[in-house]
Amino acid sequence: MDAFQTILKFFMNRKTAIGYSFMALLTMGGERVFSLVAFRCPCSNENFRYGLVFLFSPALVLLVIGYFLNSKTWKLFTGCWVNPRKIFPRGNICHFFYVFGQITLNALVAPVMWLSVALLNGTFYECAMSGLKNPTYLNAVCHSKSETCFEELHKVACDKSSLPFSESDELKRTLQAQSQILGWCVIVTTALLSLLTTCCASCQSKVSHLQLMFWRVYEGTEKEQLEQIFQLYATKLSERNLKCFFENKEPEPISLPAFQAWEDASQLYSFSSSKQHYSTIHRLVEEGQKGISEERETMLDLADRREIP
Amino acid sequence: MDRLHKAVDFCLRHQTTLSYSIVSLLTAGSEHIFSSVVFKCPCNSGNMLYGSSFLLAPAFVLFLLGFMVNARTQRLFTGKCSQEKHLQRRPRGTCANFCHLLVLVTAKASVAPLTWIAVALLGANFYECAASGSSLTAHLFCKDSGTGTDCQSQLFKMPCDKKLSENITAEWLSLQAQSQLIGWLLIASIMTVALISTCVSRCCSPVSYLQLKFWKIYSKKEHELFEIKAKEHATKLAERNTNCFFEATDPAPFHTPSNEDWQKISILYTFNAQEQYYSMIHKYVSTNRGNSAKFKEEGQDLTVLAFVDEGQAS
Repeated sequence: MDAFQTILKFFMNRKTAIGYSFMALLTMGGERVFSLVAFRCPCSNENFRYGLVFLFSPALVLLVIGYFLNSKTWKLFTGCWVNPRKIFPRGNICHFFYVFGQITLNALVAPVMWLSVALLNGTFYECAMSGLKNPTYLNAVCHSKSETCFEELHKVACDKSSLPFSESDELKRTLQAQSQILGWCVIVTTALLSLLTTCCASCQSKVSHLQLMFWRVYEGTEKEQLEQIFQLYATKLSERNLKCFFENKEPEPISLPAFQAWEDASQLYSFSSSKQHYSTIHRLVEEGQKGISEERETMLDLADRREIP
Repeated sequence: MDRLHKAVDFCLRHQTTLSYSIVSLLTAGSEHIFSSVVFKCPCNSGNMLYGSSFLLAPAFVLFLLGFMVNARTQRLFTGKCSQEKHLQRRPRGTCANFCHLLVLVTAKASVAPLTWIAVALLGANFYECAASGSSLTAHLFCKDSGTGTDCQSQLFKMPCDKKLSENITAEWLSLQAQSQLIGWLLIASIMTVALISTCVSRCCSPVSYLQLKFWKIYSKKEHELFEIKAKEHATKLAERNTNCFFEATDPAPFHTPSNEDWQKISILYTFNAQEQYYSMIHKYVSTNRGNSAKFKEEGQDLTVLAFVDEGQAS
């Protein structure tokens, strides 16, 4: 039992890396399935549109799913119609775009993975670009081939063109090579950008490294505690209500937070360097409700940035 | 059950070596998959770009990933650009310390990319494709035959046609053999450099072998206990806060270390032969919670003691 606990703890410590690897494997598997089962290049003038749709629509779907699964999105948008001041607080208009930017960056991981895997495979790009009727591009691809290349490039992907085998094979290889080089460019650019943003975010952090680590642990624990206490109070309240309904008794009082308290606790947390509060509820509890409506500074909420959707 | 326990213990003790081996195996495995499934040399003038992108782009990406995953990178950068005055380190000696740490982090992050390059060179597919498109190879193989462009286009087709490559490279080392030679040379030189640098850093260590061994065990234990205590402390604080929120009561006073205290223990460790502190927390606790003058004394930044700041998983 102890050994299993140790193994489990080992894997739990590396859950970010394991999560991302799993997502990458899933993307690779899904891309293979799509390109083998669903994708049939039409080999006509519609190649370009068909290929681009297969390349970009799954990416868009994954982006939307990423938005859906990120709890910060719902924290940001819940109740924004009733009270627009919530997302555009006085004197801090940029806060909304800042948080939305963070959510978008988190949600972009899966689409970028899809794009890079699809480009490295080459099937979708090959089909799309063989249907591109741009004269400059056609000149570049067909420059040392026979004249029929210009008219029949779109049939090359299905091996239905009248070009000799060596030429059509070379064309397919060239298109695939372009796709794979583009795929590597996407991967390298993404890796570089994420390293730069991580470093910038760390650099601008207003707290030291170990405190940041403690902060992440605190956030996780607070989430768990909130779940537990929600369950507890929900059970208590529903038991009391149903008991009183069935037994026709007077309900005993149970204290629950007021409407305004819920509103204040649901706000997205922003850090204030002069105080030492680790979350909105911590600040609420220590300062009371007036503390929330004061002017506050913002900070990159590093702990939430690493959330896997 | 006992054997499993022993096996798990063994794995945990040699965690570093095992993790490096697994990374190397994964890199070798994915190189094999790439070169057999994904890689198709275009056999035209784009050979050089294609081959080098497959050789170098994954190495670069692995290097960047190594930087991001390394906990020390965050320690290096956290709070440096911040406006907060108390997070700024004193300027004296900062540049040298920073560079020293950067070199250590780079060395650790280079393991996976160098493994990739070495395995890719031993596999020979990528190098063969890239070299067949390079002007240097054309110069070497084509100087005997008169017509330049014809020989050059023959060279482009080499990776796709085995007989052609045998004809052209009959007198010289074939491109595949060249690639494997370079691969072995790379592995041998990396091993030599690693051995020499470890020897030099151990040689320059001011502490003895047994004390170093004890120190490593102390560091590990302290990091483990830190995580456990942080979780306990966070649980107590979270419980207090959520209960007070629901019951609308005043919070009981709860002591948590202040921002300055956290800042004091997050400073990078430096060695001072006069004192015997095994970590920043040890130093903080022994110098009156960091308030005595002894706390501010700086020491040397040593490579052999690099493990003191590691271990905090981010």
